[in-house]
Amino acid sequence: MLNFDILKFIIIDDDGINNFLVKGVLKQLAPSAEVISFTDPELAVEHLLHLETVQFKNLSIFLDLNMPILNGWDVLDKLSERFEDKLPENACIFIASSSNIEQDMSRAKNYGMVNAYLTKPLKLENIKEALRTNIRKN
Amino acid sequence: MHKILVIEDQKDIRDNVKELLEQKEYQVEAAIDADSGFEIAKLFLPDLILSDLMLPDHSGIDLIKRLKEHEKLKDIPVIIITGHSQQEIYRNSMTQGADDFIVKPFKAKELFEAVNAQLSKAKIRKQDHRLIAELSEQSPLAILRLNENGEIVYSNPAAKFLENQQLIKELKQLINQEIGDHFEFEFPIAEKIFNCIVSYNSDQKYHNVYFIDNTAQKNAFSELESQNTLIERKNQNLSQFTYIVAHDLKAPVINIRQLLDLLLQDYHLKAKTKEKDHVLMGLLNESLNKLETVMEDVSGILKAREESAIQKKVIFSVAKYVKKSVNEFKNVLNEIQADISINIESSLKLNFPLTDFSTILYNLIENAIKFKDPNRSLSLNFTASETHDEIILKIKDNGLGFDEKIAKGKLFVFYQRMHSQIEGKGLGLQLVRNIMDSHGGQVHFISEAGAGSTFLINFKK
Repeated sequence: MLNFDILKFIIIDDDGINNFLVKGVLKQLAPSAEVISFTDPELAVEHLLHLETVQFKNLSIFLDLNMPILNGWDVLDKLSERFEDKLPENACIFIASSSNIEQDMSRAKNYGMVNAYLTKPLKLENIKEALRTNIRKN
Repeated sequence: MHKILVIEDQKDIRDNVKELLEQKEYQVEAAIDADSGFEIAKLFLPDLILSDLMLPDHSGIDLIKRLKEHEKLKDIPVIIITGHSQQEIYRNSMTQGADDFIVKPFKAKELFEAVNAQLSKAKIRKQDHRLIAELSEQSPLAILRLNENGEIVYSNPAAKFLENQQLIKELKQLINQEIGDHFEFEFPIAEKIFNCIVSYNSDQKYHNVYFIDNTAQKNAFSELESQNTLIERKNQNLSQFTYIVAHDLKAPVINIRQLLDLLLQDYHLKAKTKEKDHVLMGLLNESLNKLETVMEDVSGILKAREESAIQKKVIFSVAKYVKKSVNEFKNVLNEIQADISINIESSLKLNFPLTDFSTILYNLIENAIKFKDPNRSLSLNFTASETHDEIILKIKDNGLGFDEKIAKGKLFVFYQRMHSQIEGKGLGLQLVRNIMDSHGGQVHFISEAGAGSTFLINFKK
């Protein structure tokens, strides 16, 4: 059984209310897990680029697509520049978007570092499922 | 009645042949050597020449060469009369321009057969020449024949407009660039574009050039292409609407649903979480506000699109209406002590729907104010220039600007904001773009983060 409490989460979404809600769901799943949220994707990228390799251990990122200045694709491109197609320590990236447009979904599949595409609202069951399949795989 | 010239030094043969032919009602002249034969031919212009191979002054072959060089005589068929012993020579003569030969002694039947054959061949040849001449004279295609030196040796009446040394020089240059005996290229002449089809005759070393006027097709094609670009852009706008529905409307609705679910959960549990509920209700309110804004913006755009489609163009002074638009912001501009300069000739007139023009100006000025650099007072400069088919309005500010590399492709997209710290939905520029698209105009920008932006609006005349 996967111990969710050892996991760390980063939420990147310009919608603060969404982040509040996702945090709430994650609290139910793993009450003592570390959760950081960014409404400014530039700051999020900055944060990720300065992490030590070991800090990627057990990290899962929820990334929104539609954001100002840097959108989700830009964030993925910036991370790919540094980490190519896989984050260190098998850290996971989950796209969390309200868009269910096929074009976005297939575009996300082209990124090796994207583990799954989740559509909003992020429900407890969906997050649990995504974490189970992807973290076990690792 | 056909005319035949007989050139033969032996009197008996000459008289005999003349008599036989006259019996057949041909008009016959006779000569005794090549020189006199040539002189008579020039005056008599026979349909056929019968010539002995060995004449006292020159050979029949030499005579043929002289005939071929004479413009009026070159097409006259020649039958060579020769003796048995000269077989080798007459065989040779066939390759040197003679059309046929008869061997002495010959029967009347042989003579008539040879004469008839040549006369009917000549008749067909003449008909062919006439047909070709008629076709080329009446052809709507311009036809030219150029020799090795690039000089015109033939041109049909439709090629009259090509009689221009410079043009022919350019044409020759284009031909020289090509390889092979058959090729095509485009050749623009004045306002027109011709497709030149060229075939080369390597024996006689000349080029035949046929000119097909392709202007109408070319124009239709480029018209089609620009229509396509317009449709493509309209499709892009449409797919952005799809995106709004998929994202910008959906996001706040999803938030509202989740917040409400949490509230209901608390309600059902009758949990005493007043403080938490207060936070949730605040967020609920915020989400609902966002939803209302998006809805309002979308219906604003739809309304503007509809109005734009039914608006009538009017001719107005650009300077006057720029001033009018600036005036709408008078209070704000005074308050922030903005420096406004309008350097537009008052004579410059534009033919454009007025409301659309005002909407464009309104949105660009509003953006300039919204994205002003907080560390310096706003300076906003309006200029305009005119080309043969466009009026270009230039609006330059000293605001925050944006990184062009990031902004390319995003700036005019719905709900893409370039500055996260400023509330805005990026709607104004989308509207400007929409309006310009629907009138076949364009919007460009030049910007550098921290150094201000310049917007260029190209209005079609």
